[in-house]
Amino acid sequence: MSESILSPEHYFDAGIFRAEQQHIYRKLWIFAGIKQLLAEPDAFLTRTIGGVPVVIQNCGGELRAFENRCAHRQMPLQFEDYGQRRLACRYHGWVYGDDGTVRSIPQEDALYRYSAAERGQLCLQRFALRTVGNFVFVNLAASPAPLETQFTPELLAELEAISAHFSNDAAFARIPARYNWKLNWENVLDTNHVPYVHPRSFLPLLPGMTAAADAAVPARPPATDVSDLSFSTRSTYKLDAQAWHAMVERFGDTDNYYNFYLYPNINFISLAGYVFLIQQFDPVAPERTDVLFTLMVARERKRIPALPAILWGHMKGEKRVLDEDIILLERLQQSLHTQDTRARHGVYESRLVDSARIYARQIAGAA
Amino acid sequence: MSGELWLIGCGDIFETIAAAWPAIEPDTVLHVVRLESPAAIATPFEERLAAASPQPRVFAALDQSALNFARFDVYARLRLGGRRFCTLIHPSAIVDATAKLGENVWIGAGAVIEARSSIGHNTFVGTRALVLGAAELAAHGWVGAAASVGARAKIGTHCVIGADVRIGAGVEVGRFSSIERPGHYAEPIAERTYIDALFELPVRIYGSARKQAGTAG
Repeated sequence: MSESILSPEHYFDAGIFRAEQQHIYRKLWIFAGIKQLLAEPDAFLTRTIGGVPVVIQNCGGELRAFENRCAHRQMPLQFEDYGQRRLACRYHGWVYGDDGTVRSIPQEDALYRYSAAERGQLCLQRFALRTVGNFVFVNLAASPAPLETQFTPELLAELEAISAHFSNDAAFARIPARYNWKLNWENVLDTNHVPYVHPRSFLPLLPGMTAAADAAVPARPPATDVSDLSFSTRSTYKLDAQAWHAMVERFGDTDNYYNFYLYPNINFISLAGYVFLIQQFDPVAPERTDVLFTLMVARERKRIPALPAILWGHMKGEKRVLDEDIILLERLQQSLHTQDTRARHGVYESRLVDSARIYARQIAGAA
Repeated sequence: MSGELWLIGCGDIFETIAAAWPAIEPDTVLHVVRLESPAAIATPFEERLAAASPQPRVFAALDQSALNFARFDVYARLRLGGRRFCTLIHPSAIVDATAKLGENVWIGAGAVIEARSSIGHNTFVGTRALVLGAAELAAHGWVGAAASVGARAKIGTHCVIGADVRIGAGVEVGRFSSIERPGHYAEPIAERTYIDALFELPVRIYGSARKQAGTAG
């Protein structure tokens, strides 16, 4: 037995939450969205990362990440999760160029009268951006560590290969939940919950998964580096054949359940290479998380008229499974206020132990 | 209207039509082809109409499964096969003489279709639903029981307006959207938007097919 290194306060303390924002979310590469939705000129997406509003904009064919607030009065430049609109402020009409500098200010001479030096400072803060296939990652640090130090080259190659099969259309949902983001990250690492929490929804799709089988975790050395916390697995998936499967270019040729864990807050899965779901556990407050679902199917060989119905149908199915987790995790979050004991991990939970150890090192600012 | 009509499909509307016959068309003989489920359309069903007399009228009745694509599939296949479709109106519905109804349209019991409104092919309007003056419902849609579509509102193709949903006057709902959480909607709803009790916030589909509403530069 291993008592968790994390105390209950790690799941509700505001000071610890601020430390996470500073040392994890404003320091690591964080998934921001998917590239195929940003192909058009001026296409954009917005996110809040580490408490910082971020816009990723197609600037003349190149994706660039900026702080999403006007240099004038800090109004967000773009509002929607995804959209297509030039980089301009709705508040006073300031327009920005592709490099993030202010291109035009309505009635500038009459109303503002900035000196040349002041005018030169008017620009958006730019952040590092990397794409891996269709995954877009952003790093808010002044001197970001290479992406390859956070994810192994092998894992990056896997992500690039599988995401090449994403459809051009994606369903997106923002799902508010009343628990700390780490509870959801730990929940997906702990696959032993599946037989108990999802006995009729998810478990029947995973033949061979039982508590005993899951407990038979192969021995592996303890994680020592942040890159050890991200990995992929695959298992057998019970595929329900659909007519539209013949109309897409699936990933792989076997009925696998592909499962990617991308520290700190992504669980990316694929159902037999036909359906792809990126689940992100986005920290909003110490006891509030937005679960972001981005759902796609495999890219079309020919147009599928019913694609909106297919995406919407799968989105509802995945939400019903998530709800089975949410109802428990919200109860767990509530109970953390009244108890002072820590989790007692079994041997099968070595991934959680590793994750907690490296997380604790990070929020202490040591890594 | 006299003659024969072949009713094919399954679900609540299908059973409602079958049960209400012959009050709907007293002089028409009804033949029923009952599918086991919407999934049954994956297998050929056309041969079950083989006994139909030459050029019979048909009506495809399936509920709003998969943004009405299940009903669309039956409708399109039969239409390609040369079948003639009709429109059915429950005797208790009120349809203004200036309203335009497409083929394979169902107007349910107690529904009211006001003047100058139009309802596209293969769209179903449920029990006690209201379609107010000059509203436009595109093809392959669904308006649930007791829902209302305001005057001059425009509803895109393959939309689902759920039971007890009220779309305000002049409001546009983009195609392939599903509004199933009861309430009043006074603002435009972009295409491929999903408002459902399962989700606290609207779900959107983004991608190649869109020029997103309200985001023009």
